[in-house]
Amino acid sequence: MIVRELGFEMKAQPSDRLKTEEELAKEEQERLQKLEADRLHRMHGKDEHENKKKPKHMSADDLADGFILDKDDRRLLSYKDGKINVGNEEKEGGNEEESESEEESEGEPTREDGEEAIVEEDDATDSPSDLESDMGSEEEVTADEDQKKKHKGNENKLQSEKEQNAKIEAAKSELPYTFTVPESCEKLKSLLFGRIIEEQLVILERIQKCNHPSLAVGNKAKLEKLFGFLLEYIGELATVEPPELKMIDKLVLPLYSLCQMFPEAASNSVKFVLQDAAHDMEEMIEVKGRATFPKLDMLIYLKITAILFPTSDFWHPVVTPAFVYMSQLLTKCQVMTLQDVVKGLFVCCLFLEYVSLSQRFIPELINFLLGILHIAVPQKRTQGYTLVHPFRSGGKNSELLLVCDKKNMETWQKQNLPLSIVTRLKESSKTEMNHFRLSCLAVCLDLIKKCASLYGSLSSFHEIMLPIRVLLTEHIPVSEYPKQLQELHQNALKEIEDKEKHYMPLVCEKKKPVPLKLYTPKIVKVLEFGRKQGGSKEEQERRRLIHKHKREFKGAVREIRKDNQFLARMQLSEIMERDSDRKRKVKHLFNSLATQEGEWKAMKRKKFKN
Amino acid sequence: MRHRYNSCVNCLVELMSHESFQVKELSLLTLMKFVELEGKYPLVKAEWKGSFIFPCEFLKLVVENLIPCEEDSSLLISRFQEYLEYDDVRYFVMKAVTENIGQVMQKTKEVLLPIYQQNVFSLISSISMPSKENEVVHFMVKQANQEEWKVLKLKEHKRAFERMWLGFLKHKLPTSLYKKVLVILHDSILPHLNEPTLMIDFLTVAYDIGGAISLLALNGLFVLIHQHNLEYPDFYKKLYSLLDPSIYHVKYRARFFHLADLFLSSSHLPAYLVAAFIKRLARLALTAPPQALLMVIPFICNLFRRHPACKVLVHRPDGPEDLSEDPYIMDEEEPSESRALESSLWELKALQSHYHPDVAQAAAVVNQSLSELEDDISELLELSAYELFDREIKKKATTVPLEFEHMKGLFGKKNDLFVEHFALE
Repeated sequence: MIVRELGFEMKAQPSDRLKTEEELAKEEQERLQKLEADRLHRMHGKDEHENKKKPKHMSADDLADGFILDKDDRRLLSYKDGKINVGNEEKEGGNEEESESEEESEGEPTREDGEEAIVEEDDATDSPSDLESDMGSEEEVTADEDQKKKHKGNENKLQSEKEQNAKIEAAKSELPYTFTVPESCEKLKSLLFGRIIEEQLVILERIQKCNHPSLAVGNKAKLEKLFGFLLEYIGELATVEPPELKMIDKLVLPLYSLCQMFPEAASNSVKFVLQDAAHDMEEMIEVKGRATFPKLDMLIYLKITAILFPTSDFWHPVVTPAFVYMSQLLTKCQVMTLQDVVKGLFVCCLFLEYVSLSQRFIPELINFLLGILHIAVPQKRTQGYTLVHPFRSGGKNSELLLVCDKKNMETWQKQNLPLSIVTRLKESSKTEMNHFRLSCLAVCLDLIKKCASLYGSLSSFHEIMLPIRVLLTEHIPVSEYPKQLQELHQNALKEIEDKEKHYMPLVCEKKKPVPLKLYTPKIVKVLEFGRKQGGSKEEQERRRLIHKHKREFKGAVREIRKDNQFLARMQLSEIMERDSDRKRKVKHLFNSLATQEGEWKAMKRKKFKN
Repeated sequence: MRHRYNSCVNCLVELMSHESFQVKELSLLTLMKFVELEGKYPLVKAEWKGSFIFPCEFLKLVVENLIPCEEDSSLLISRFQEYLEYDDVRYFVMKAVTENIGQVMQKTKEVLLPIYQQNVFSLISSISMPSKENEVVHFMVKQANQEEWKVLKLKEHKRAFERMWLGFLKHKLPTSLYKKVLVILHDSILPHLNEPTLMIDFLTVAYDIGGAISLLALNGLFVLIHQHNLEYPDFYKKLYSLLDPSIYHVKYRARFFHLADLFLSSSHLPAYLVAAFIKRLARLALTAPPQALLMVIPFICNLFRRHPACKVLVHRPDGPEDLSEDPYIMDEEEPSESRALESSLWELKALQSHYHPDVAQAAAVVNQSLSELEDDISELLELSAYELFDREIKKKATTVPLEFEHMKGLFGKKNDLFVEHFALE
């Protein structure tokens, strides 16, 4: 039963094919181009006339008294969910709405362009589209009101003409839909100049979409350059007076998406910026003998590096040089003013952020924080700790963060350090300056606490933290500080002291014994028995000849030996024959001699007898 | 006539303290021309034949005005340098300077005269001594019978040189001048002295001052110990006390570690001493920048190779399980009391998680047993931070990993530290 039921159950249906990136990009471009054409159309003021020619819906209550309604008031009712329902008035009055709703829908396809994990996409989509939809709804409200007003004054033809003109103006100031990639930083600047942040974002997004690498061959190179220009632009925004930090905050988003598209080009641009900065510093050290902290733009660049690239890598082509550069900032740059303190603390913060995941040890960071604490201490008896460059125990800047005014201490509230202070210290009162000093100190104490929790597991943690601990316990005038600061101080000290002291004697890893060299026999596969393997044709021929020669040689030897044997045998038989012949003759001779002797003896005996 | 000549000379001498450099320069040149001519055509007839004529008093007057007490005259001195090429002028200038220092210093009674001393230094440091006897041939005033003249002997030159420097260094010097003297000491002063060991007083004083000056004095001391058999009591103890966090940060780092390498290369040093050095260097390395770490870690490894008895610092298989304190006493000045041999090199263990990949790798060497061959640290000695940066940035990467965590703005990462402390205003 169940099996049969299963058989009847709905099978998974094939879903629609997902559109590929190229197709999406193409569609997007087409759409934008169409919109751009429409916009141009409207800019020239053509559409309204056309619309007017269309037959209008006539009300049953029409008095037909020659009174012409040039605005149909019913579209007030046709709003649904904050959007205009489709109608012929849409184009008439809804310029703004249209463009905004378009932008809303743009949010998603762009983000799909980047090859990111799904999680990111969620994050990515909500930020810009939220923004735009917010803006969109706001504008709709104003448009709404506009139309109400229009409704009131719909008797006035003259006024409606004015409205029309205003609309043309609005369309002119509206953003174009297609952009070419700017070829220099100046062009990018002129493109973005005077726009509000949201518009700049839209422009950048459209540049990216219209020039997607899959659409044309040269687009990749162009967009790669765009990253560099954008980076430069951000640097300039950071150096103007006052720094446009809010704008930078938003511009980081397109920078991120560009970086995701072209990692190599992006890394090269950032590396170039770093190299420039390090070179400048080296030059300054050579000329002046000492370096000063860089401007705000460099600090922003370092922060951007942390946003674009993973800082926890053991080695990273961009992040590692950034590390070395920041180390130089903390060891070579003189701390002369309060701005320098802020910059230094910013770099410390960067350092901590860079290593927040990897938990790597940064000696410079500890040294610098120690130095910052040192310049907040009134009495200069450097006992129990030693300062290193760039801080010195004496000198004119050795009490930079010292606050003596008790009143100021009491009125202080912890506040975040505004970055604009880096470019210029506002002409502020003494109280504000003192408050500012205390804020710096608060940041420093908090960073110390963070360091302590980060490095707690290091084997010589207590040796590393010893100077800071001595300063915190013995030299810092805690009792005079406001409550909030005292708390921070307590927290930091506790974090340091809470760590257990464990010292395990070091033991080398056991060396793996070097394996004996084994001589395994070399095995050659014999594929055909009886036949010599391998070799080229000549080799084989040679071997064959050698073999033949050997065989012939053996045969010849055998022949010779046989001949010799035969000869020897023949000679022997000849000799034997001759020997037996001789023996026979000798015997015969003996015989005849014996008979002769016998005869001679018989004759002799006969003689005697006789 | 002679009267007129004298008053002319006096005028010129006064003009040497004129404000304008051109005037000074011209008067100096004229005076030197007078010196030359006076040498050739002496005002006073030689009293007996075979005596040597040189206008010493005249030259002394010039020298006196060349090193004024009030203003810096280094420009004028560099102009004067061309005359110091003449062997006879040099000889008499050295004598005059010696005399002048004696007079001026006696007057002021051991008070520092930075400008005067600076002037003297720039004058006498520009004296370049001949190195061989037969090089003494270059004279401003030719003498008739040259053989017996004192100026001809290199030994006399050396004696004058020695007297001058000793006279100069006898007195207290400003810190910057100390450094300058020590930098050139082993190269351009010590080889030209008859008895270099006379410098020991000066060097000892300098060595005891501490800081960078001590580091620099080390070089001179080394030359004396090495080439002139000087015995220096407690030398290693002093060297040990020189180690403080600044050694990794000062300009003279390369020079110091080069010498330290030489001093610690002897295989006759006791293990406790070497262990104390190792431990102290490692402890201080906890505050060192990466370029110094890249140098000092192989340095420590080399010490292990030379003194295998110290290897307990990295390998103690049968030690106590867990200690609550590092037995090594950092504040102890006597290396033998520091209990370094009971400790372990936990510092290197900590450096294994250093942020710089090369440092972390170098520190990881102690995990394995060391190879027999010593590392060559001569190239690492001069490694600067910028070189390190350059090396990193020129490394080619095949792929560039990207951050996958998305952010919402400049400070918009998850758990961003900056949000707590900084504001985008």
